[in-house]
Amino acid sequence: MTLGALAGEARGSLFKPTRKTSMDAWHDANGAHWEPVADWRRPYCFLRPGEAVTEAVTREVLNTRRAVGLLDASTLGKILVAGPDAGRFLDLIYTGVISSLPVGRCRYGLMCTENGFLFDDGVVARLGEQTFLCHTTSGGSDRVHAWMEEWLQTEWWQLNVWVANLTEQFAQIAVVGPRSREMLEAMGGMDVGRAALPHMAFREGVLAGVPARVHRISFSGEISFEVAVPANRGQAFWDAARTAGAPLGLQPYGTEALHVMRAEKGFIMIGDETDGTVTPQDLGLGWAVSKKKADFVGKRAQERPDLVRPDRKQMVGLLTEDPAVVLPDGAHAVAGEVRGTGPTPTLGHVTSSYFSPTLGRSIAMALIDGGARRLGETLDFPISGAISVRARVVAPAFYDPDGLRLDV
Amino acid sequence: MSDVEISRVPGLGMIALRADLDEPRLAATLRSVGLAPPAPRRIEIAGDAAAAWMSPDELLLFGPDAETAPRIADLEAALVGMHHLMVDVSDARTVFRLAGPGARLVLAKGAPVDLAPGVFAPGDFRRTRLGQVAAALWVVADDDLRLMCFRSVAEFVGDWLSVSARAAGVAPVLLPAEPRV
Repeated sequence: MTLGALAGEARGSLFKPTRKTSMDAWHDANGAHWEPVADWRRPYCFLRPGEAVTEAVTREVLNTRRAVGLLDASTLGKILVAGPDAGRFLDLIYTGVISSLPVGRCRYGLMCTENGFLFDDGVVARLGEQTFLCHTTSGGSDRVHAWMEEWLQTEWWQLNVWVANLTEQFAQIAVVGPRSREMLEAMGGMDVGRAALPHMAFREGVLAGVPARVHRISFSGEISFEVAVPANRGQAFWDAARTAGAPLGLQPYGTEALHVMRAEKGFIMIGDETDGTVTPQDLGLGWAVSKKKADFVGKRAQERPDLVRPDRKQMVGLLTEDPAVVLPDGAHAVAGEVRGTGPTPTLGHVTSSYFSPTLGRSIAMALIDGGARRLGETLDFPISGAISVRARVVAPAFYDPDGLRLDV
Repeated sequence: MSDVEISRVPGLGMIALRADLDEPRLAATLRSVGLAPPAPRRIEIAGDAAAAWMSPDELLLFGPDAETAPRIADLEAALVGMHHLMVDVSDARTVFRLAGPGARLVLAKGAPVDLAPGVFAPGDFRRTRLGQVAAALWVVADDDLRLMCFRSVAEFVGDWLSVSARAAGVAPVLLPAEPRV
């Protein structure tokens, strides 16, 4: 028996299905340095001739913060939830209150398992009195869709709610940065001014001749518009955006610039800051967990003694003493000296770590025992042999913590 | 003459409709727009439109792309007050046409469905898997089959069909196709 006989046709492009967005061919022809994201491939960054990957990421971050960036966010899950009990259903699925969301507005929501642990997050848009569009993580769309179906079919079958997975129906393109509004105005067709489209609102209309739902939401801390268009029109919209954005300094950016910018803001990433054992409260997201609601999935679990322990691992920010040193992802903080023999007690680990081009120094996020009470402490992260990185515990919002850049 | 002609079917409008399929009002509404309500695992084709059974509470309606929006408006008007979800999903999926005596052989390489003529007959519709991806298959005429997959894996499925045809000893011809169900 040869390995070839076992593999059969499952090799090359058929080894595993690669999901591609509407703009995939353009990305491929324009320097995309690919990375797998769930079954999708997404540009990690767009390389210019002769450019190194880190140089491209730095350029993309700075350009988005200073001018305007374009991101293919089509892989985000989009689940339509409709029916007279849709609001009630989403109040049970999300930790926060969704039913009070006015039509035309967006709200950030968290979903927990029955054990109280965070497993997906995203923005919910209320399309109508009985209709909501729930955005999920890129890897979570099928899981969240199945999760909703399971609850509706097995536990809450009395609720009049239908769901549909619209992830593939729309291309979603984020226009991000201080010149983003100017750019959409140049594309023409919709009022995207501050009064018509404030932060956390959305509008439906036509942009550059393409039917669009424009969400004013932000994962970067910049004023930002996520535009959903029919997937077959995705490339046409992308082209129109590039034309309108060219005089404003528009550059496309990839997933790594997205990751860096969200970390600069202290925004969590499912799978980085979460690992199936982390609650919203551990991440400082208690504000997104309703204290008034009678029930939601995870509520009772979150009242258990182990989930309210004050010394649980909690998310903090870290600033290394040497700003040029970037902590390795996963590095552990130790309590006291590293022992020569036997295990050294550890306090927690680095969940996200980057060099921030915006701040000109390294930043990191970490889950640390009783972290919320350790602000100002300095922790040791032994890396290898005698090398140890010292870092100060800070609040995890490194850039524009008051959100002034959004208030425009 | 080749054994199978494979082409993408462009310009198909698609509407997802979730509802209690036993509602008499639903069947009457479908008939009012010229569509017959499909039985389980069946597709009812009427000219350039069709209604496919997706699950015990979901139908997929096909028609010319340009008629999707007015058709949704007509159906919504007829179903006011009846709990349902209706949404345009025309861009979410890709449909392939496989025509010729080799069509069933090419699909049988990857789908756990008995595709024998007489077993999988005209009007039969099956949600299944093709290789590693979710797919739906249906029969328009004995040598004229359709394959539907999500748009993000359309390139993968196209590659898969070429390889499957080769492995089945069938000579595939890739063609542009007309928009029909």
